[in-house]
Amino acid sequence: MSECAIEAVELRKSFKGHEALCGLNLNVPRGSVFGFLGRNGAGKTTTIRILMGLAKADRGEARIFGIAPGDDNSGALLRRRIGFVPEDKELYPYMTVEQVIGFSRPFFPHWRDDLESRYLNAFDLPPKKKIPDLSKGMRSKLMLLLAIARGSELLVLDEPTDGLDPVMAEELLRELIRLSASDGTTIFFSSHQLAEVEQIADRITIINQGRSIVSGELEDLKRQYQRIKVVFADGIPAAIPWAQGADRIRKEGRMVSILSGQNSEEIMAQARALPGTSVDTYPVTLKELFLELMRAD
Amino acid sequence: MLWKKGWYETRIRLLFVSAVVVVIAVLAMDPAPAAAGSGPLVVATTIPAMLAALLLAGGGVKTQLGGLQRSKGLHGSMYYTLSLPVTRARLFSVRVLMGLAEIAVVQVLMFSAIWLVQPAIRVNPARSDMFKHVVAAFCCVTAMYSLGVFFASFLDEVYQHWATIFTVVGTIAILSRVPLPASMDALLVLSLASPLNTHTMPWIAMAVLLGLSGMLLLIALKIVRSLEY
Amino acid sequence: MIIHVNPASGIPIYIQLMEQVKHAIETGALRVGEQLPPLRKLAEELVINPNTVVRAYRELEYEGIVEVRHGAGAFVRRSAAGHTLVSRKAQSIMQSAVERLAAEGLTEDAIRRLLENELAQLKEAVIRRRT
Repeated sequence: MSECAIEAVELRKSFKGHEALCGLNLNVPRGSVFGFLGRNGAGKTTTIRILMGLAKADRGEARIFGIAPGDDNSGALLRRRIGFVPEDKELYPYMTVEQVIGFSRPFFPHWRDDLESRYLNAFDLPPKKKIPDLSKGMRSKLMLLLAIARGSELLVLDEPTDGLDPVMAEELLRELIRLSASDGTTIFFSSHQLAEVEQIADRITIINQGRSIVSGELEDLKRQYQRIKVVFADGIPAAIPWAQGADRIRKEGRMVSILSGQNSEEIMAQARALPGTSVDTYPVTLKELFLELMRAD
Repeated sequence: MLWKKGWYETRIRLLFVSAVVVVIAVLAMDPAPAAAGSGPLVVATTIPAMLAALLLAGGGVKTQLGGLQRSKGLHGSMYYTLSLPVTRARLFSVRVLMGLAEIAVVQVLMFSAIWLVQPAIRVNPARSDMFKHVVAAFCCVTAMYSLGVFFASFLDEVYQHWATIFTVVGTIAILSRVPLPASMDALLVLSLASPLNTHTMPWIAMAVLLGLSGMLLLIALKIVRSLEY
Repeated sequence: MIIHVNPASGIPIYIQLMEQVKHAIETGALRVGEQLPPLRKLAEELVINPNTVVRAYRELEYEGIVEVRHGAGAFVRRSAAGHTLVSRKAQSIMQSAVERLAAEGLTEDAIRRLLENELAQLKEAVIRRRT
């Protein structure tokens, strides 16, 4: 039994001359709630497509539970254990809610009837309503129900709260937490809502231009990255040999702002040692971290 | 489950095609010469059958592994279908078999309609010959269908139709210049060599047609398996 | 017991949880021997990752404030009561420090910022040394 739910090693993928993935590495442990972050066009959807067997990587390897998703036969077996909510939350327009549930059920030997009825109620989904007549939020919830009721060990969600109002989004996040806590379901989700990721994820990867630029446990990253502001009473000296880890240095007037990824203490000590300075540190939110990393990359 | 879904998605098209085919066939039947020979009968039944094959075939094998919707690109529900624990091979097979079943149904309807509408026919060609003709025609039509599926695996719907027509017309043109032994000539099966005339089953031609169909379908399957979404 | 966290504040959530629990003990909202909110329930209520709660409770156990009994939950320890005695002495230290800083001309906000800064650094350093 592998400890890794999802593993990607040096994934490379090009479309029509454009390199979508340039050596992406990913490591999602079982049972984690993993946030997959990046700007539009950074390669998130491409990665998810490769993981779901919709596309194949040019080079490198992707494995879910140790199995390659690209092969037609093993991929089909693998998908019994995965619940997927794609970016386009569309379903068959000629079916009703209960029909699409009834259609999906026989494919999954581990289908959870209890979860099915539970989420039908919790999400307030009208069983006899035709799918095109559902609101966008309802459709998102239906897709989530279909993914969860499969009794999957892993959920792969592409923008799960897209189109949901804040109340529905919170409901959805709560259900994800519940699944993670009670069933140990691994949850891998991509999102633009950094606040949500900050709330429920325990690990994240930030991807930019086809590579992952930051990876790890969220709490560790937040402890690791500090914003250090140094104010020079007599103006900023010409060149300061900051210690290793002083990144994204910005200067404004008499103030230097440093985002440190490591060695924060050393940098702070260094700053305090300089003449005529006042040094302050501030914690960094995920949003600030994300924006800063995007700016500099 | 996939069958039920496939049926849901194709039944309207089937209805439409059946209606069109039956009407054309019946109209094409000329009452008087029915007694003189089976030629007109053959023509009347062949063309519509081929039409049916064309229309029912492909129709989005590439974009709709599971269904048939008018779409310029990928239909959203396709992602859901592909996320199911079903191999592409199975999705493909269900679709193809469903299509073939529907063609068979169309053929039967067509012949039944003609049988009913033109009493003169009931006398002339023997029933067994008629049956043999239907079977032979089905083999021919299957080949056309497979061609359609093959093109649909990598072409968009409109191009697929044109490609199939072009290939069929081209083949007919070539074969009419290059004579093949009568037993092999598939075209003749539908006209001169038809069981209605020869009173025997054109086994070799049928085998060739079915072999060709099988090959085309296998290639289409291979293409579909390698598609990226 | 009403706990409130702000996931977007930049301060790790588990540290916020720890502070809230400690505050609850100091003000008497949580008494010695009482049980802290069950892990899963708290996570679901606050809609945060259960591991975050695990971490907070574990850190509190390290600091001797809380005792985790397997299968039963987390309970406030006896020695937590001792903290109130310490705080009286601490109060006088704080008082003199504030008076001295004010005498230097610092405003209330400046003093508060200085203090928060020092505390944050202290906490980071302690945890970093331990891991």
